[in-house]
Amino acid sequence: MKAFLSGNEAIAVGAYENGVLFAAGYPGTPSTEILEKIAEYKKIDAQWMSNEKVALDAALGASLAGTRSLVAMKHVGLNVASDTLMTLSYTGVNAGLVIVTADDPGMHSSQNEQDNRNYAKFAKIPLLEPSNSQEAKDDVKLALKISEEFDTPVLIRITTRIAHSRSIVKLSRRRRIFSGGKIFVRHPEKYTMIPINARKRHEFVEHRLKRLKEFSEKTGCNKIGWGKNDIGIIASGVSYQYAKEACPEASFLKLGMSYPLPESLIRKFAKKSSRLYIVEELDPFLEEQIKAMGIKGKGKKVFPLTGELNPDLVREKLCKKNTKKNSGAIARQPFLHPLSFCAGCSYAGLFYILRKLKTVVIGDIGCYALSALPPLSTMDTCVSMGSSIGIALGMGKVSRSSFRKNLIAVIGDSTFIHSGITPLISVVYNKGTTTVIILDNQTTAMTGRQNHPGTGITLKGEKTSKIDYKQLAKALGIKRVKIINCYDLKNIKVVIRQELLSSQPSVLIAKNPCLLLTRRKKFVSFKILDSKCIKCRECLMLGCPAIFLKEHQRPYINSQVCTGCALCKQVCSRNAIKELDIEGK
Amino acid sequence: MKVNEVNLIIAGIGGQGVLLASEIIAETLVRAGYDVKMSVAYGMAQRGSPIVSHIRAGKKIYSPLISKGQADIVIVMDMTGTQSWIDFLKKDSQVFMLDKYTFSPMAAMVSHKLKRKIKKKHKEIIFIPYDKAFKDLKDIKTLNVFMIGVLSNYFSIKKENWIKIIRKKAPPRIKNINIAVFKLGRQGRYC
Repeated sequence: MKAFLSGNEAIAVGAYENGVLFAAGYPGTPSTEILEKIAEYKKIDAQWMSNEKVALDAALGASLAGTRSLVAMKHVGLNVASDTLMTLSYTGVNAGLVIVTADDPGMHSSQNEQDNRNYAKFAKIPLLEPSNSQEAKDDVKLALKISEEFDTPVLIRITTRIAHSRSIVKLSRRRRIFSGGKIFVRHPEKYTMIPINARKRHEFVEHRLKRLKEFSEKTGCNKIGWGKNDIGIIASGVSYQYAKEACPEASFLKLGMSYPLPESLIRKFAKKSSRLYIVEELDPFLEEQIKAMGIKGKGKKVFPLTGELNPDLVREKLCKKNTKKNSGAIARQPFLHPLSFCAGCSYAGLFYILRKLKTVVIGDIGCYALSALPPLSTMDTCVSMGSSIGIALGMGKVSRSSFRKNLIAVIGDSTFIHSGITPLISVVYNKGTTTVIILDNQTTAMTGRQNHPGTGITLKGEKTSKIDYKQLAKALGIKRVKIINCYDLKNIKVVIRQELLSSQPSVLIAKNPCLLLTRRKKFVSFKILDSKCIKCRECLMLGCPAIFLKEHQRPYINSQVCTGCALCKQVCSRNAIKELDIEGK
Repeated sequence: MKVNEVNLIIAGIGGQGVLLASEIIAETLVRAGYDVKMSVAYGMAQRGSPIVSHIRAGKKIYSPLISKGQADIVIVMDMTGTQSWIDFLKKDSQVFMLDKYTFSPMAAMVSHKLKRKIKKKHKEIIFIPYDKAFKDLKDIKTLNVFMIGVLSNYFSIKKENWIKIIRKKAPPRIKNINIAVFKLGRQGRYC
C-alpha cells in the first residue's frame, strides 16, 4: 500500500506501525500535526501536555514502565525539555523512547532558527535526519531499535520542509511489540541520578557513544552513491535533496544518522573526492566535526549560516552555472497583504486601547505577537514562552514609578499554562506590581486551535476538568483579579488604567473565545457612510483585514470579510459606521 | 500531457483551498504512477495571506521545491502573492489565471500592473473568464476544484481517476457539488 504523506504524518504512521503506545507533546509549528495524526489511532494514548518538559517526562515515565513512547515538539520546545533530556541521556530508557524535534530554518513561524542537531552532540545521544516522508517513517523504526539496543533516547530532527512536504510512503503492517520483561524494575543505580550514581552513568554514556559510532559506520542510512565527476557532497536532511537536484552527477555521502558521525566512511569518501562540499542548513554541525578529523572541505565558506537552502542556491554555489542573477534564498516577499489579526478578533480592540494608553507592552508567544506589526505597533518585547511576566517583573523592579505604571504583561491562555504560572508566583512572592492580561481565547490559536488544560477537552476529544484562571490567580495570592470583555472598548480602557495605577499586582482575564472557534453563522456586517466619513482613518488603526482604503483615500468595509464585531463602530468619532440592513445596503 | 517531469505551482491566499487542491492534484498524480513531491510552507499564513504550493511529478523527484524558471504550469487563484512565484515562470509556462476575479481587495489594487508584467514575459496565459464561470459555480468556495477541472485537461489521466480522489479528499458535505464543479471546469469551454 502506498500513501502520499507529509513528514509529520509519516512519523505518526511510523509510531503506529512500530508499537508506540504512548505519545505526548505540546503544539508548535511545524511539529503540531504529528500528535494530531497519532491521536487518530485508538491504540495509542496521545496527549497534549502543558509544556514540552512535562511531555518528555511523561514519555520517560511510559518508557520506564515498559511502553514504547514518542514525544514531538518544535525546536524551541526542546529548550524547555532540555533539563530532562540532559539527564535522560544518563539514565537511558527501558522501552524505546524517541524525541522528534521540528526545526524551522527560515523562521516561517518561529522566534529563532536554532539548529537542534547541536542537542544531540550536547546530550551525547544519537541523531537521525530524514530527507523525505518515507525516511521519516523508517527512522521512527530505526530510532526505536537503537533506543532499546543502546539504552538511549534518540533524537529525530526534521525541518519545516520535511514536516510539511508530502511524498510517497510505503505502508506496512503494524508490528506487535511484546513488552513482556520490560516492566519497570527498581534500578536506582540507573534511574536515580544522585552524584554517586550519575558519575558511573556518565562513563556509560561515553562508552555508549563509542558503540554508537561503530553502529553509525555500518547502518544503512549512511550511504555513499558514487557519481561521475570529482565533486563529493556530504549532506543530510532536505539539503541532500536540494544538492541531488542541483548536482545529480556528483558523488554523495548521505548521512541519515548524523550523530555520532561515521568517521571511516567519511574518510573513505573524502579520499576519492577531490572537491569536497558539505551542504547543510544553519550551523556548520557536520562541517566542524569533519574538519576536526583533519579533512578539508567547503561548507559555510560558500553556503549561508542563516535561513533555508533551496535547489537554486545550492546549484549556484556548487556548479557555478546559474541562469538567473539573484537566485539567493527565495526572497521573503514583502507582504502585500500584511499579517494581521483575523477580522473580528478581540485582540485588535485590546491592543488598540493599549496603544491609546501608551503602555509598554511586554508580550509573549502567540497570535497576539502580530500586534507588533503596523498599524497597531503595540508589542514591545516577545522573547520566549511565558517570559512576558518575568520580564515585566524585572523591568518594574528597576524603573521609576512613572514608567512602572505604564508597564503591562500580555500572555495567551495556553502560553500562561505552558510557563506563565511560575513567574506569576514570583511576582507575588517578590512584591512586584505587575499587571498581567491573560488572553483567554480558549484555544491554542496560533498553531491551529489545539485544546489545552484551559479548554476542558483532551487531544483525544475527551472531556476533562478545566482550569479556572480566576481561582488560580487568587490562590497564588493575587488580590486584584478581574474578567474583561475586549469588545467593550470603553470599559477595558477604564479598567486597564485603574489596574496600571494600582500598587498591587493584578490579573485581568480577557474571556473572548477565538473567532475561528465560534464562527458565528449569522451576523450583521458594517459599512462606512461616505457622507459622514471625514477620512480620519482611525478605523484603519485597528488593523482589521476587512477595512481597506479605496480611491480618494476613503476607507471602506469589505462585507465578505467583516464579521460584525463592531470594534470599528466604537472607534469612529463621527458615527460614520453603520450596520448593513437586511437587504445588504 | 505526457512528459518526463512536470512542475506545478498553485498560488492563492489562505482560505481558498490551495492546500486541498494541491493534495488532490498531487495524489491523482501519485495514483497515475509518478513519483510526486509537494511542498507548502504554512504556519502564519492562515487568514488571507498569500500561500504558494509547489507540486513536482516525474520519474524520480528529489527536491520538494521547484527551481527558479522551471514551472511548467501555474494556477493563480489570487494575485496577492505574485512576487513569490513570478521568478519560477519560464518562457513557455502555462499560466491559468482568472480574468476579472480577485479574492482580496489588496490584490485588486495591484493585479493590473502584474498582469501586464506577466503578459510581457510569457505569452501562454490562459485567462478564464471569471464572470461566465462564476454564474455556473454558484459557491465561490468550490473555485479550487473548478481550477482542478480546468487543469485536468492537460494530463492524460482519466476523468474517473480525478473524481475518485476528489471524492476521497473533499469535505463530505459538499462532495457532490465539488464533483459537479470539477466537471464544469473540465468541459473546457472556459479556456
